[in-house]
Amino acid sequence: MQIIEIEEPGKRDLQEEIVVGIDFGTTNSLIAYSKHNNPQIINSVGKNGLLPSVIFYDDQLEKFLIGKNRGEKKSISSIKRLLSKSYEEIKSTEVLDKILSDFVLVDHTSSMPKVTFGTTKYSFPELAAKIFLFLKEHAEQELGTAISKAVVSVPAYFDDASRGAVMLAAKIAGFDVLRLIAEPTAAAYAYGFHKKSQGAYMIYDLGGGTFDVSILNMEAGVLQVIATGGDNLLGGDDLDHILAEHIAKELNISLEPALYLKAKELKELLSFQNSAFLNFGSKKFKITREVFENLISLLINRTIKIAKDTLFDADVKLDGIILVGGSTRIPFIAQNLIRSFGVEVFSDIDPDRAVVIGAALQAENLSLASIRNSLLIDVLPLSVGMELYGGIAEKIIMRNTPIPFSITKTFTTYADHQTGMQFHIVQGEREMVQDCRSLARFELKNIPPMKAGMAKIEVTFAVDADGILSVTAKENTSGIAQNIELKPSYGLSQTEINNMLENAFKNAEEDYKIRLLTETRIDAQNVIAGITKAMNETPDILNINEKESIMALINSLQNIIYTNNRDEILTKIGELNKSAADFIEKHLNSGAKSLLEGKHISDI
Amino acid sequence: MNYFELFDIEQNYIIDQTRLRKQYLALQEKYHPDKAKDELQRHKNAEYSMFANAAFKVLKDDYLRAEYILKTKGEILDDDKLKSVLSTAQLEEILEEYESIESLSCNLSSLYVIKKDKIAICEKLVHDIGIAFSENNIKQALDLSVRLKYLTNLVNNIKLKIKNADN
Repeated sequence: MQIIEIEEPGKRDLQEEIVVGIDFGTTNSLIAYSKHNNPQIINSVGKNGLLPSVIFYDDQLEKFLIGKNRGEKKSISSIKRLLSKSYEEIKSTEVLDKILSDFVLVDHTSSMPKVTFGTTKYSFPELAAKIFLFLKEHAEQELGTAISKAVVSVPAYFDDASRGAVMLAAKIAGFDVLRLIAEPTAAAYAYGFHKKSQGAYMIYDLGGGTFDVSILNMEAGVLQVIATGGDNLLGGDDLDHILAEHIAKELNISLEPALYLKAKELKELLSFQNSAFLNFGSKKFKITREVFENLISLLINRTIKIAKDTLFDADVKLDGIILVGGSTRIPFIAQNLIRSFGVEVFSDIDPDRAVVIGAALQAENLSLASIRNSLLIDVLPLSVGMELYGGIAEKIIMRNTPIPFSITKTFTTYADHQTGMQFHIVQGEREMVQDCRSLARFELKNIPPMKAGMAKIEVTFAVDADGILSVTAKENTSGIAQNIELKPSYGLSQTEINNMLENAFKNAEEDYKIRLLTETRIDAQNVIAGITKAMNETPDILNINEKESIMALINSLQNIIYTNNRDEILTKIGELNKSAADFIEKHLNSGAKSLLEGKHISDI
Repeated sequence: MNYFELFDIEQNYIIDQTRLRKQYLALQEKYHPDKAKDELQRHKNAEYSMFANAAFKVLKDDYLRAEYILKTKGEILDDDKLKSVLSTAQLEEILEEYESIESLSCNLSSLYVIKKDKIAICEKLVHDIGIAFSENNIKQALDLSVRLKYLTNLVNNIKLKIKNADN
């Protein structure tokens, strides 16, 4: 048994707080921490430490269950795909609408859409927060300490609104997000190439629901993203769908959720063998790897094209490709990449875990904040622009610009005595505003009336290290500066954000109970360890009967330490303390004596 | 502090790009927000880091670097200037180049040849701009910089054509 030292009260607070790394994935989510560069995944969240990102609402219990019932009625999987989407976007995109087929989506024209469970309406970040909370609770149980800080990974291609939504979900679950880290960057970090060699690497990340590709430059401990690309509506799930459709057609059966699961199993088998069988009801289905590869080749070619385009943007010579995401286990992908790019492909680290391992390492790195640690320099994934007359999107900060970054532009009035000016901030690569994502609109009022072109309005666009944008506008011709600040709003009003946080704190009571339980367990372990240590140091104070009665109490405390009955644990701690009090006093008194008669004297 | 001082490199148009990059990374190692120990320092670091990113972006680019030095000499290269510096004949020449590339959109090998030619001309221009600045011939530096700007756009256009033809 591991002996835990008794600590002085308050000393525990001085310890380095553990910062966890979280991979909030479309299909699975993971949480990990790292100590002395040794990353550990919290395995209790699910099989192999993978928590299926599935939210299920149990009507009877009126409770959310996380990680179970994939593919069943009344469950939402792939919530990550919805995070910052509007009602119209969801309704007009088949794959998105399908995720919510069992639910009624409520349109909130002014802000985010919501889904009703029981009597309450929930926005997507609030639902995603349930997954974060689940991860947090399990990590706290396993580590025996409260956790409040995290590094969270996001797809490199996520826009401002999606990043904001992830940030908000983590915040609702009680996390202080130290840093959003791009998933491919995290994976590259896990490989640690930046410490050894200099070179440019491509990270090809085909996850459950998103495809990301990044080109990274690594040198002298610095990892710099040079270009990113991807498609946030393309992933391994689509491969399952293609295969499921094929099976349905071949067997002449209807497409149903169970079939997708079967297709997924087949897909996974085909990564290791040349053909696979499947029994579906009374029907039998056989498929070879070759047929499967033909089915998915169109989709894989699409990813290769995106990878080529991204490499083009980066304009560097590639030294290798790192594979991330469960779907990259399909041998066809590595074969295609080698053929298209002619470089070595790396897949030594489990592609499902590379991201969370990198996030955990970066979390430890940030918690130390020492100059000697490695550094990540990220880039803005999508250009930020402003609407000009005629609906043209004028790019203000180009994508792939290293962040943090800020730029100030001067604008002027176009009519005499104009007193207001509207700004529309957008994100995206297209020329027209309607094809870009609208981030925010705001108006600068009370411009002193003057001739057209006389007013000078300075607009500053600043993107922080997490890739989140803020905009400040200032009119100072008249000497009267006025500020309008656009803070990351996640497409929500401040009231709505406050409401969400308030709701989250309603759950805080439950969190508090869990924390108390965890602390009580630690107390119990400390008491046991302290008494055991004392008994080992001064074995002669107690007679056999006394020793046995203390051991019995220790055993009975140990037996209940992992139950959820905090009161009973407290009672047992009390009993043990009481019965050992005499012994401890004698033990402490003997301390002075043993100092004089220390073992080393008799050793001489 | 100007951009050259920030990276502690000589205030010349022709610079050592390897040294620039090294100095840039060293600055980020020191001042990136992730290296901050508390919130206050994080805010300060964000500003330093933003400044370093903006400065690096300008100095590593042959055209933006020229534009930056010209600005310190009182020559502001805005859109109007860019249009007025070149003669009508020069502008027509550039437009013709674009047309000839357009007609070659699908001919990958000719595109590669043209790209190589144009990049060689760009390199020659960069060299000449360096000489013009060192002789303090601002008029000449300005003219050549504008030519570099048009030519760089042309090269980017060729690259885009190659990318599209390649897919």
